[in-house]
Amino acid sequence: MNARILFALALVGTWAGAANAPATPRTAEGHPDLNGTWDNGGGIAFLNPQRLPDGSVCVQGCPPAATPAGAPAPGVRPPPDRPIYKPQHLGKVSELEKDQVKQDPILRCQPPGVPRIGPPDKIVQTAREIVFLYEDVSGPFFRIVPLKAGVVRQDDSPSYLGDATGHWEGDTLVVETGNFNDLTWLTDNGAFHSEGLRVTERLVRRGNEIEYQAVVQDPEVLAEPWQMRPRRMTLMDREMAEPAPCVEQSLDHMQDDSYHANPR
Amino acid sequence: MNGRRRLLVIPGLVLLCTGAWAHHSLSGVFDVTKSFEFDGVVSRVDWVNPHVQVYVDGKARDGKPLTYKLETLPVAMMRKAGLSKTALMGEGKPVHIQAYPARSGEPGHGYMLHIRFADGREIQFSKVPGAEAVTPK
Repeated sequence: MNARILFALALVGTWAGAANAPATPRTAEGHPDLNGTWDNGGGIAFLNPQRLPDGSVCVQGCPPAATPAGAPAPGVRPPPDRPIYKPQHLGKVSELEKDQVKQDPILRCQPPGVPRIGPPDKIVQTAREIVFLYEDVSGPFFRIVPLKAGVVRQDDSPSYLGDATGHWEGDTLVVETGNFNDLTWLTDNGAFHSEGLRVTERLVRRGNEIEYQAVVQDPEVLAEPWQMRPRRMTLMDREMAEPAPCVEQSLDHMQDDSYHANPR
Repeated sequence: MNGRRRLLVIPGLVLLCTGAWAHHSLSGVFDVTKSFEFDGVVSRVDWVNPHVQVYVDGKARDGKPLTYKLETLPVAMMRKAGLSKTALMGEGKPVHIQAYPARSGEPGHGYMLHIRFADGREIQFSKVPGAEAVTPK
């Protein structure tokens, strides 16, 4: 059984545990209430800072410790989750990957795009629209999602985070986004896309958790739609802090173009 | 972390996570097989992404004043560990630093992997050279 399957089983197992979750709160319109600040379950989910019995903490390089149920073991990143490209584009992906220290937009504090930005860190929900707020390593970002079923927005020039609309399918919030520019990557390692990118995100709240899943379609470059691994968002009891600005200061000191994998 | 060290007591735990994040190799800038240690006073913390920057007023090998510029963890990792800019400042009192040196050899440039404050509190940010690697369970 490979690491990808083990990770998927762990995720399913923890999600199944949500069966005993508290009741899902609802808005006056009867939809699940997605308002709140959420631990978006990605990026550094592998990190389990150790708090010793005396309250001390070690961030990384700590001795082995008990792992909370369902959490990845400390220091263990999940296996890669990557789109499948058409054969004629594999060369470009490979070239970008080899040169990603120079090419990857987020290494220069550029907007990460969708779906690379991941689930939102805060959701503001009204009857007419949903607002996603992000604390990203590239800085603060927001997406405004009008609730207009069947409408394809193209409000302005193609943009980093695209134009989104949302609608409810039962208890699932479905967000459709298009009108992207082609200046972002879908994920690490040269995963470029075209302006034909369309992303469908589905958010289902159960108790104090949201299951988030995105499907990426880009028929120009991808061999098939990329159904990303689900992410689990967990409600937090604190407000979202002001995102730190992104001020890149490392790349001028790089002695080589090495990089590390960073699956999400 | 070894047994002689006592780590910083940090109230609460903050769990905000970033979505996308930089991933140039640490070893592309710093020699992660070596470390150097020095004493100084934290004079400034830039609470920025992709890496927090810590400035420490200390002395160079020749005894002349030198402000060390130390890169360290991303903001999200700091927050997940319950750390803040204030926690890193050390109240203007002397601190002891362990850091990876820059591969470029630039004096005063490094990656902060451990800090011990005047009152004995400590924070470990990264693996200490020579320490045993974590064995996932």
